[in-house]
Amino acid sequence: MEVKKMRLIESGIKAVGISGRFAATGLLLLSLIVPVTPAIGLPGAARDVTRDMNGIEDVMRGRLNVYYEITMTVHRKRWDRVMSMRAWDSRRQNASFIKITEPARDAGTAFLKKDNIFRQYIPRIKRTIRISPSMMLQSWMGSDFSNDDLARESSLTKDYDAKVKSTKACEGGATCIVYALTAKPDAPVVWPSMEIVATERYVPVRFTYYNSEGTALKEMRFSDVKTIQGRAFPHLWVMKNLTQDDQQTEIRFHRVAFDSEMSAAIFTDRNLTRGK
Amino acid sequence: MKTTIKLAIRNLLRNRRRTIITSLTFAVGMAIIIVTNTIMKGSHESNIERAVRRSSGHYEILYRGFLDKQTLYYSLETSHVNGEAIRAIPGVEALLYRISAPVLAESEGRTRLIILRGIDPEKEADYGGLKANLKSGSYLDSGDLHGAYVGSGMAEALHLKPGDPMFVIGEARDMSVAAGAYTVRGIFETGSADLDRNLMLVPYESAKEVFVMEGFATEGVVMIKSYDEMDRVGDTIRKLLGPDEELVPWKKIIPELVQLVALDAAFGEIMIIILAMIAVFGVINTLITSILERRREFAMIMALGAPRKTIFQIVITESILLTFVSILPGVLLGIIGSVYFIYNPIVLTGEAARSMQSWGFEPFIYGRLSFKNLWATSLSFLVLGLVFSLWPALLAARTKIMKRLQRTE
Repeated sequence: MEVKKMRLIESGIKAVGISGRFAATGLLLLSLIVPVTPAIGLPGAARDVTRDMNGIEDVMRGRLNVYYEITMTVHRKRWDRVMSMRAWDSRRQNASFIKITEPARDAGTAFLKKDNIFRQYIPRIKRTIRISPSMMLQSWMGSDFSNDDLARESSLTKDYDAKVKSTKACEGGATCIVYALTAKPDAPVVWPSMEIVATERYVPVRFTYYNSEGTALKEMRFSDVKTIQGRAFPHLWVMKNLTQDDQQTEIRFHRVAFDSEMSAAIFTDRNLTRGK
Repeated sequence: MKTTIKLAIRNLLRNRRRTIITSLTFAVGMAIIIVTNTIMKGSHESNIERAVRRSSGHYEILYRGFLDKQTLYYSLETSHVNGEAIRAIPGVEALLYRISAPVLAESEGRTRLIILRGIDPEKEADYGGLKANLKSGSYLDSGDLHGAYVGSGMAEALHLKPGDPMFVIGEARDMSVAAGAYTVRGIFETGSADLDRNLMLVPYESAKEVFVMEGFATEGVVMIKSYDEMDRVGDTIRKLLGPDEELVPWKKIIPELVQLVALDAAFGEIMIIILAMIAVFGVINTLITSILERRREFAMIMALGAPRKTIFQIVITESILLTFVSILPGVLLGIIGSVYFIYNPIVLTGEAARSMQSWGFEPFIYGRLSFKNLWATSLSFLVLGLVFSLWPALLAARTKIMKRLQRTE
């Protein structure tokens, strides 16, 4: 009698999702948000909030595209898992591609988001799996990032109404602005509301994600700001699950390149299924 | 008293056909109860035992949290379990580690959500290995890491036959992607729709690799030799476990089975009571008929001076003797009938079979004869026989002398 376990399976199918010819856990890592204009900070309510949101997205994703090499550490009470990966995120082509390089067990696993279709390639069984929209809330590769957090379709400007809540002093003497974001009606977003703390220069400091009851569920902290191509970029992102003790995922950036030449060949099936 | 017994015996012997018929009614009634009990108990216990042995085992040793969460994150660290000491406990038949996890199985574009279970093919052959249920192809080989043994329902849904490739994908212990490529080696059919549709067996070593389970298992399954020893053995095992592990009895792992068992038992009891009533009334009916037949005879004896008390005593003695005499053939008939059903299970078909299968039971009813069944049935018939012989005895003692003698029959 496996009834109980089968129930588990049923919830598993939700976790796994079935689409196209196959389905899977996990999804596209990557990116956040939209276009940009460089900005000059104005204090408090006088600020152009839309421009601020664009500015933040621009810092995180570049104006055209961003390439990076990162190490992701998933921390759980019983284990830590470290993965290295390379990622290409092109806002211009509305596509992103991630390839896991380490550990050997997962090397060659790749994710492609293109034309709003998300797919994962698993070299071990030489199979490509489509990740359905219903799986966007699921954990990405067992991390505290959901598919939506990383392969996000939603945009801070397009899907949220933002307003300045307050200003405060941040570490290092910078002035930070606290924004309250509320999802627009019918916006296809996971989080009904968010709180964003960023500096006047649009460098993100903290994102807090709330459910519809207004309870904070997740929080991402940005730190280790270094200058890349003349702009400030936080090199350590830590996503903490606020509902579970001792559970977080850390992204450490080793290499970041903004707005470089990014060939369309990267975002192809051929590249997806290339393996190691 | 001696005379009464002598007369009663003579009466019984005088009309042998009547005596034999009454005795047979009694014996057959008893046999029916015994056989029904045998079938009930059999369908009950053998199904429980079968279901338990090939699924959860009598006990499962689990990491705390696994029972609720059911994810590989809560896997059992096998080095934390003193397997040697547990296996050495008298009454423990086996301690077997398994890795069970939900996966999506795929073959040629068809997909199905199933349970993948890694087992030791040799040690589990008679338990969760389901070797006896092989339908086609061959059983698992522990050296064949890409061999799979799948249920017939799953094989049908995915259009699989021995030799076909298939893929599974799920989540590993470290929450990375677990993926494996397998070749179907064999197909099993247990009759349990649940197992046949949802279970895929692979060698333990293979599951260990796919789910990143080196040094871990999802469950340590404990098989116990005799059901009666469950509590004692369980207490001993508990003392050997660390704070992170717990011992969970099958009733907690598969509560659906417990409910079904209770329901089944209740229906069984109702059925036995109805059958017993039918049997007892059959016996009383025969006894009363034989008394009514002899009313003239009783009237004659009383006319000759026998007190009503004597008639009452004679008739009740007859009934008691008859009861005693009938018990042995009743038990014998019951045993014969029971043995038949032990070796020839009742095969259920149609809706009944489907409902059994959907609960993980085989659509067969095997008999199971217990000593208790025999003595309990004998004793209750003895008591019933004695109590109900009062009625014909009273009837005989109340015979209206004049009325019966006037008639020429």
